[in-house]
Amino acid sequence: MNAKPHRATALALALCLAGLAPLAACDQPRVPEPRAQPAPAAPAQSPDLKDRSSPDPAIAPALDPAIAALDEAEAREQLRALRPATTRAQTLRFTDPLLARPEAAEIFAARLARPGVPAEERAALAEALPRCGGAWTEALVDAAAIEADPAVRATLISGLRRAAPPLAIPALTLALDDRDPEVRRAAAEVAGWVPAVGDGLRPQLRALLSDRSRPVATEATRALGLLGDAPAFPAIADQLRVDDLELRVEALHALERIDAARALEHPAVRAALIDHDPRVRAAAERLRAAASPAR
Amino acid sequence: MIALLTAACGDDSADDDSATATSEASTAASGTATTSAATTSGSGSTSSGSASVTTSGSGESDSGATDTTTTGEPDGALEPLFGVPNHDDDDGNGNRDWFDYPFAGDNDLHVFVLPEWYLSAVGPDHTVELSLSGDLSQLRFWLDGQLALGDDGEGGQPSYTLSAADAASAFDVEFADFLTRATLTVRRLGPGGVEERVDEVPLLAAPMLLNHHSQTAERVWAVQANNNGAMLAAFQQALGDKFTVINVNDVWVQDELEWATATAPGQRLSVAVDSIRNRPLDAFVKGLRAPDVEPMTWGVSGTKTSHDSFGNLETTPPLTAGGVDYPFGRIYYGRDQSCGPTYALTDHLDAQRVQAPIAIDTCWLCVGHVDEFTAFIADEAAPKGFRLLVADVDAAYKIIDALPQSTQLPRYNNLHGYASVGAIADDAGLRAYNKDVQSDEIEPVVALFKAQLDLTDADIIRIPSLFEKINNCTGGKSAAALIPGMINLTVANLAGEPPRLFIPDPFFRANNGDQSGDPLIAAFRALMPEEYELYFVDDWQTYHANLGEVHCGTNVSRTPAADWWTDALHLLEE
Repeated sequence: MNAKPHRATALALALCLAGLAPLAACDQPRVPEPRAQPAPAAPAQSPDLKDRSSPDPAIAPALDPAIAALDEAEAREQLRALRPATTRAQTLRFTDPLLARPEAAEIFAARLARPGVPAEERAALAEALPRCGGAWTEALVDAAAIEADPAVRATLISGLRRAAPPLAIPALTLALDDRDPEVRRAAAEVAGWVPAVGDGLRPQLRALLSDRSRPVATEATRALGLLGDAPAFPAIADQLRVDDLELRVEALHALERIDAARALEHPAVRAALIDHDPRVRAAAERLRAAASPAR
Repeated sequence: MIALLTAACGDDSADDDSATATSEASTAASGTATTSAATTSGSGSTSSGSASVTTSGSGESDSGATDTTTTGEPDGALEPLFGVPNHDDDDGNGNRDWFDYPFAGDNDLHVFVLPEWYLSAVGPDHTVELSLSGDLSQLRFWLDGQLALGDDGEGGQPSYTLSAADAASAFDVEFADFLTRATLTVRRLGPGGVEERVDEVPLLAAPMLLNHHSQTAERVWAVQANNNGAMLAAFQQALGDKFTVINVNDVWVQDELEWATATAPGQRLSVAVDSIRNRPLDAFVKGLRAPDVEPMTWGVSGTKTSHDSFGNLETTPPLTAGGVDYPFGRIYYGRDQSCGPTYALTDHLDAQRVQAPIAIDTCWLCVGHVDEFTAFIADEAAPKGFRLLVADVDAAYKIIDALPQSTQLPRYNNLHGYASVGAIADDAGLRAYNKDVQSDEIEPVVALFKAQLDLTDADIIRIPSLFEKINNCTGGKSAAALIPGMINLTVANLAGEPPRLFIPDPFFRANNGDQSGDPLIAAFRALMPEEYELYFVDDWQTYHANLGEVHCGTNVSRTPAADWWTDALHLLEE
């Protein structure tokens, strides 16, 4: 798969979803653009949508002096050679302060694309990208578009939690329709986590409520709750009848967030208050407390 | 009448009627004989039942073995014999001593000799017959270097007869394993082989007991790494020569090693429980082998998960819960349907019985260890003498929301993506995630602790904490500390010194060099008992960034604080 057309498509779609492109342009079929054509200029961002890959110099921490003192060639060389540490969870993770260098995103994306890198290290590279200096979001979106390993792809998509919505939305749109359930789940999670991203993805999230993968349906349920998506209320209430503990707990939380008072009147919620499972009962009790906080 | 040892400590053949008092029994063939059986007097619901069991102390014999000879009792009962399993390698020959022929330097043998008052009744025409019941393959009685009773590799020697002249002989008794149980029956036979007296001596080896934070610390270890010099220096300065630095490429010394002990009067075997995680620190743990110190492993290394690390294995302080006294506390570890340590280990811990393990759900964490959101510390002012520390996200948000939102957080920007207090406060997804972590994961554990440990809210201190999701953890549940987990601390209470807590510096401030301006440090200080000295150490790069904290990177050996043979027999009743 060629990443470049995806990126261009993604950016165009971002403009449409963000309402920053002419309506007519959004009606055009999404045809990949040749790489040679310049990408549309990034839309102006409100401060709360600031891409953390480009922090405001006024608030960005200074690089460690020893790291800042490296010339670019040295920094690139060290970033290429950087090894991940083994975390306490026995996974690999890049945590070196060198990641703050502006060259880091480019180097890590290149390492990720290099053939022969072990899967565990590739997952670590993907996890580290959002913590890299430089234009990490673009690098991450590109990488996600061509990544074959679904676990790595899901890790990349999860990293969009930190990205500016205009750049995250197109990639998430594709990821919500990914053939791999873990990628769809990761995309739904980001959509719920960042309302500015998820608001434009509500229809896709509603569709995922009936996804054949329970973790995906569960994450979509959670996302729609976090977004306060009232139209999804009936479908989410129906999830309470599914024999899946995680899904039922998330459904109760989602109903609580959408409209706790309304939810409390729902028969399935009232049944959950006396459910045999203590976690379900606890979630229902939390909902009841939210519905009547004075009690 | 003296209450003797026990049906609990005796084997299955012990007469139930003899369980609470000395009894008399007629022998069919040889007239009347007195039967004495040591027993506990209580029901086992508290430790008071064991108060009547006395031992003679722990003098060392010439051979180096411990003398647990019984003292005289007015009614002539023989006392039980408690020992430590001979798991160690006192002569350093590479063999566990149980597999060695007894040698002079083996200090884990226990002397059994009939007491003076008993011997005075043994006439020249008497004999004394000793017979052993129970698992004969787990116990040995040696006499003058020769096996007299017990394991001989062929089913066991069940009996031995002493002439009157030999009745004062001293036997060296050796236990194979933790909680080895047997009963020695002592029959005094008079002229013509008439049975004059029968005594039963319960024999019991120590359980393996894990340490808890209320026990006095003896030594603290940590591993040197590239970026933890300041933390190690803080430990060194506070603890002096009680602090040891290890040089190996694996900083998680809490995870590879759990200290435990097995004790008997005057004896102590330290067990370096060696995790099956088997990363580079494995060699360090195996290198701890020494006289009275034995590394031991339960489980198979190829089956390891993160939950087999010993940050996932902790013990409460002593407590009473459900009417039961737990003088050595209760073990707890993380296990649920989808995760947990090897059953080889947890079955062993369950079998020790004294610390009645509790499983709590830690599967929601990326690392999955109990030390990430719970800890126990001693507190003189607390109703139960200790407090449960538990992570609390609401406590954190209460502080965060009250701070100037523009406060910069230099440490958080690169690693966590939050440049300021406001960036954290305004992250709706993060706030919702933490709310759910608290209600769905942490509070059920708090409820479980309350139920299992008889705790109330007064016994609990809520520590400001926030969690984040780690993207490449397996599964959808992958929480890890966002704010360095202040709960993930090290308790170093050296003898004769003020108790100390070493806590991860949360760096929740603009000026990293000024701890006095950190609101989370201030909050933590306000919550802690006054007796503690608090050290907020920089664990950020070496530990926090790699999903661990101070506790994960340290290990502490501790002094046993109680005697199981007097305080915990009620928990060992069969």
